[in-house]
Amino acid sequence: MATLFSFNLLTPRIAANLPDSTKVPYLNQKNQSWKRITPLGCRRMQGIKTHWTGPASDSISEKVVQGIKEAEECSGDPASGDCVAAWDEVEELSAVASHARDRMKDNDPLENYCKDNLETDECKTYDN
Amino acid sequence: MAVSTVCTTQSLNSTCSISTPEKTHLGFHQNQVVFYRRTSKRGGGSCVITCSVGDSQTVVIGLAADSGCGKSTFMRRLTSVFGGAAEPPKGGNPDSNTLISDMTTVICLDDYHSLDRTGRKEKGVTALDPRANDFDLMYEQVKALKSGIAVDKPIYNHVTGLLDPPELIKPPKILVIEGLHPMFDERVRDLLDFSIYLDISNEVKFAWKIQRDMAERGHSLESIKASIESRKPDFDAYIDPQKQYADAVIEVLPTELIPDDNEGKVLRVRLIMKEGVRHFSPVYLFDEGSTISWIPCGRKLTCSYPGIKFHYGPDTYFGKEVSILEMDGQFDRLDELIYVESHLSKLSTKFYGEVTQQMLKHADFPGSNNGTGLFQTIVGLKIRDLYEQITSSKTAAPLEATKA
Repeated sequence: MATLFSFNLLTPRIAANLPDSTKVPYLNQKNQSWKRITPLGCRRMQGIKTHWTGPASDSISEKVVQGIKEAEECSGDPASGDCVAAWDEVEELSAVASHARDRMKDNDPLENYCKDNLETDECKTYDN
Repeated sequence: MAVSTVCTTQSLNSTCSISTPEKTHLGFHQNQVVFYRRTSKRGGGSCVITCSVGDSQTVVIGLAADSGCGKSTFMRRLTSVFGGAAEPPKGGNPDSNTLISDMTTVICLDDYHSLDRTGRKEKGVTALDPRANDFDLMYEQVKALKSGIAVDKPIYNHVTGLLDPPELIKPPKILVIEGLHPMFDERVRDLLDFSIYLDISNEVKFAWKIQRDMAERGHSLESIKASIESRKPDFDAYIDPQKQYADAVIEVLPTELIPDDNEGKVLRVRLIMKEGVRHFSPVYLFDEGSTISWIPCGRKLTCSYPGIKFHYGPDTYFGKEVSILEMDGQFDRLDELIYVESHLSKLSTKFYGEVTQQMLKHADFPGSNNGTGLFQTIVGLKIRDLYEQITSSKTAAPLEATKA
């Protein structure tokens, strides 16, 4: 009974966590850490795939790697017509990746929480 | 205090959106007064309708630079001078390139790509090529925003490489268009009240791209080099010529203080300011119009290696008269910065130490310890001054126009 109960508790959360499965490339280590904190009674849940969207730069990094591979495969000198568009794509993706990295740097979870909850204990400031 | 501008519309069926009255900084509501006056010309038939709407003149600034050359940093500094942080539009496309703050809206010109990534690959053109951009749409929308009409601007999604559905952009007080081609099309160029070009030399560009891209797996020194080289022909043909049209050029070169330096950490930055631009007075050192060479480090100020060197003087740039202020070296301490600021003139600061304060506010931005940050901050203050001059000259001239 207990297992059934916890099963019910967990399924809505899993359903909520399912984003568009076509976008997310693969499961990674983060999913395994989720598995560790599930209660013992729900070990049967380990078989179910949860989709974890890693930081944006993971999928973007993949695109950069692929773009570079394609551009390097392109025969001829880098300034010729076909290669030019491929290298331009690499440049564009590298810019996106670096912007994503900068955004990650700015995302301090405590600061984000305190923006909306100034009165909580963690966010009180005593300036005078 | 009534603020009004006069606009004439030639055709009767032109659309003019009347936005809801907004509070000015003084706290008064601005009412929009519309006057209709018909004048019939001799020979009959044609009518001229004049209407005056408050607050419709938008100041348009253009910023041109290649990818990875510091446009985003410049934008953040610029919006910070006006107060407030610029953020993407709330509730819209999360991959939108637009930034909106109280006073400014920053539009990325990549949104006017006519070909998406696959389209460009098929045709074998880069984003730098004018064939990949829709200049007609760019001109129409910038013109509309400048006259106070909201537009539906397309979105170019950099992550997917596709053109997303458009987003609504309301006319702001200051519109900044940043990208590869703000000054390429002549019609768009004429709409700009002020234009800036970031000219990064090849060695520095290479060093910056290495810093940016080596953290990405997949990139190697060769791939970065190949990427830069393949862009060069298009860049030289389409982007570089825009610098002759810019009102201010920030040129970044390797330092001359350290012989054979190829790390690109210490930079020599030149601020090239065109003379005779309306509402823009160039910054100068000691004596306007003369040639000055200045090393601030000495008895009053001690600097660490390699020190700081300034140069100021008049010159010609692509056949136009300019004033060039140059800084080589970097700031290590706060007092070096304030010392330098106290000796520069016509900075358009509102109080002593404003440049230093702005630089310190963003001490974590790249370039905060050298000429790039300093000159970007100064240009930001100049733009604020330009904006204030334009808006005050608009309030001075309304009544005379309606008398005519």
